[in-house]
Amino acid sequence: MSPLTVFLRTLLKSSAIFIGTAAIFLHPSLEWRSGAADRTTVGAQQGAHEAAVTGLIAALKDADQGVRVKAIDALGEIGDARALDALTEALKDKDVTIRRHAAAAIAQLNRGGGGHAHPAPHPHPHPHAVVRQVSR
Amino acid sequence: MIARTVVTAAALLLGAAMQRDLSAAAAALTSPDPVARTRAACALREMGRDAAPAMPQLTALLADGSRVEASACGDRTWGVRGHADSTTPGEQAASAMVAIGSVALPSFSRALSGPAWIARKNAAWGLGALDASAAVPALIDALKDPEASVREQVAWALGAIGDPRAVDALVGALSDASPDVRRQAAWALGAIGDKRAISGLTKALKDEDAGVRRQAAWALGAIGG
Repeated sequence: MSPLTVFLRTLLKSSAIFIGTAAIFLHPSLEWRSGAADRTTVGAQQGAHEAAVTGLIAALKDADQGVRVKAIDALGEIGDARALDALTEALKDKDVTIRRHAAAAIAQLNRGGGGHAHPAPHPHPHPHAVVRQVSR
Repeated sequence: MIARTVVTAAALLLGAAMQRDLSAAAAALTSPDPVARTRAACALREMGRDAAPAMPQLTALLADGSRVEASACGDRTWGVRGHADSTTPGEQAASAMVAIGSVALPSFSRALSGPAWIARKNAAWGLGALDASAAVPALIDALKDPEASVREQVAWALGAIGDPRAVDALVGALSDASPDVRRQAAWALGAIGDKRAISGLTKALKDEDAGVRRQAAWALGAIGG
């Protein structure tokens, strides 16, 4: 076998390996791009979740009592432990409704969040409409 | 044999009586008296599916926004709650159409893009009450209706149907000029329960309207972690 034939055969073999490897990596079933997109979405959702908890904790100081109550309930539903300090603070509120909701939310937090959904505060605008129960 | 004859005769008489009731009610839908029009719509609703022949007259009544006492239909007014002390012939016509069932969907869809805003509002309610998934794209368009109370009802309908396709449009409605629309959009987002709404709802916690803030807080809890 001449050196030239050996060279050509080696070149062919390595090309085949290169093409095969490239085919594996670039194959659409691997979805590299969408995998990265998914990670971005998860990251964005994580950020949104944290912002929501921070926003709800801030809403515990809202001027409107109804907002404070709904924020407490929501923190119980979400079940994020970062809300515990703020909810414990709310246990000392002078308003008994706030204290009651805070106690329920803390209990819910200890169970890991979730549980029963609180009813929607706003009635739908049609006087004879049927609001579908919010299911979780 | 005799028994069968009696049963047949009774059925025929009942059918004839029902036909008479249906014709009378359908005729009263065009009465000059709004209370009579409301009562006629209520009577048709009681007939449920059997009121289907009156569909054209009921559809025409959707635009009728004359305020009448909620007691116009006696205790037959459907699901009126303590706070609702008035109703309209249009609302009761929409109820009768919902009671007829899904054959009312094309009529509601046409009314949703019609010229009368009261009809558009009642149609939006009807589409939500019938859980009309097929109407979701049309309802999303209707979130841009020039009339705020139509947009409010449309937001309710989208929440009642619960289709995640509506999430982006409803997040947009959290910036609507009308607080009623923003409140209803927040409710709808909580009812749909899609996590994509979390950022928009967090911003709505700082809305100038306390009702919107309450609703946003509730919705965040309904969506959960």
